[in-house]
Amino acid sequence: MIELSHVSKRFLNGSRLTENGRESYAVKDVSFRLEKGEIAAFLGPNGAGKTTTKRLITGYLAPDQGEIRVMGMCPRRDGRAVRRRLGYLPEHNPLYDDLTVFETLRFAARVQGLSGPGLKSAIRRMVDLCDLGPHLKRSVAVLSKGFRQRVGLAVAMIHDPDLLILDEPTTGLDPNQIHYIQQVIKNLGGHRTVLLSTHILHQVPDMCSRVLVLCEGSLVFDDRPQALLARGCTVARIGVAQEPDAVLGRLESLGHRATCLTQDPERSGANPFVPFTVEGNWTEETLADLAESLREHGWRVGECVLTPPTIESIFAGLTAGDGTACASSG
Amino acid sequence: MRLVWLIARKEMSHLLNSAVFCLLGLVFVLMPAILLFWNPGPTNLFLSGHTSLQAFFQQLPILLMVFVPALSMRAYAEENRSGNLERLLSFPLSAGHLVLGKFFGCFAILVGCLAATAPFPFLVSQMGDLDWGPVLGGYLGALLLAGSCLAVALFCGAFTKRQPTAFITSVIALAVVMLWRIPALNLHDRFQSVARGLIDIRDLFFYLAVMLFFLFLNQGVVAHKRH
Repeated sequence: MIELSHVSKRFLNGSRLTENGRESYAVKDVSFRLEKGEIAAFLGPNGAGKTTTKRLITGYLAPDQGEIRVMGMCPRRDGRAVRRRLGYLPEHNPLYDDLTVFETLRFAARVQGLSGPGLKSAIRRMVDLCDLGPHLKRSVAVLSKGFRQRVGLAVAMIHDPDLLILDEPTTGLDPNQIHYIQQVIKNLGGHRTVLLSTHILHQVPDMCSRVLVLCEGSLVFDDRPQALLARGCTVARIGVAQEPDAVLGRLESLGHRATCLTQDPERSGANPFVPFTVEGNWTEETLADLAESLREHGWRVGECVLTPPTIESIFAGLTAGDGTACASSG
Repeated sequence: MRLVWLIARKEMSHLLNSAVFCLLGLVFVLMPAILLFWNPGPTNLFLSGHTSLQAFFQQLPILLMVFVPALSMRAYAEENRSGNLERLLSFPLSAGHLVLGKFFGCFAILVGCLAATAPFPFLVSQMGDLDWGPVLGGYLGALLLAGSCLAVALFCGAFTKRQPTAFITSVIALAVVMLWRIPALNLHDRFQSVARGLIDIRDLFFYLAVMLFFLFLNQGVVAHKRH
């Protein structure tokens, strides 16, 4: 469905140069392949090259190096044929404020070549799917952000495309609206390929069958969401009745990276334990060993809890520059 | 052609939904009345007793130099600013469809504005013996001049995200091509010749060539946005 092979794209304005004055890349040597029916999350920090990659796939930009095939075609050479089978929701979801919702959908359907009964049924389908019925005659300018997003999604899907590219479709929405858009996207899987970028990471395992993580223009992860979660490390949380600096020094001497969790480490009589997190892939046994080695110093050790990894912590590890989810092993 | 028509209709709808543009259009349509009847100069019909639309057609190039940029400044600037151009270019449209659609949409509105001034020749003809040759020549020349100005203004507007910038650069560009010292390339002088009723096929080709040249450049600018 989509195949990128060693694709690179330089920064357009040439303003971003590396320290040694060489040109740097918005996207560098990116290769991946998405099959029909996959819903892929395209993750990465701001400026990682996600939007550039999506523009390369839509044919809006041309790669400097490498090859892109979309449904077996080149998006530059066979641009119109590719765009007939592609739906795109750009970042910020631009719409014409002086048109009504119905006029917006009708314009998009006509540009996609629909007419007559086909046009009417396409609009009806989108109105039902995105629940736009009560707002059809309203101007786009007066819609809430959530409904604007639904209109943008309907515009992208009105011609029933095989490939849907969504750039941050849930940004700025309230939790109910996020849930609604999430359900719409989930229902699209199986029939068509969806490539979506989002900063709301906890949606990803539930919604997507594939995760691609881009960092500084390079692809640093490409696998199933379960594989991403498996890369995470269980962090230990321990409470020690001791001065924080002494505890941190001891943990460092044992080879662990730790953080004191309280801003005010003044211990009260009620709770003498200062909380710390210790990075590493901990198990019950290794954590018990750590607690024991602290007790050998005559320190009182309180709570010892294992904190499971979150997709946010794994993402932070992957995009921190070292390419790993775990900063150190336990 | 269907895609060009769709873009043209959208462009017309944007202009007709804009209160600012409707007000400008009204001023344009009433301008012949101001130039012919309220003008204190010698071309005032009441003062000169001479029934002709010369005063209107003499001032028309200057009028179009301001009116056409005001009409076209939104066409690309707003699309560039809002990001709608990216969405439009993700549809199965070519840059040519977009450029021609915007041109014909704006041109249809210009034709409408010029047509709305048509009652004035009939009004003037009631006041005396009006020579219809220069009037028809004037309107033909006005259409050609308006089309050429529009092609130049759309080309200038395609570079920017800001409507005031589009307006100012278009006015400057039109001032240059209107007041160009090389007679063969001067839009203004050729118009005055057509407006006197002297229709030369070379003038018609000249205006068509100007339109095609700037539309071609405009298509290049839009296509370059997909780079």
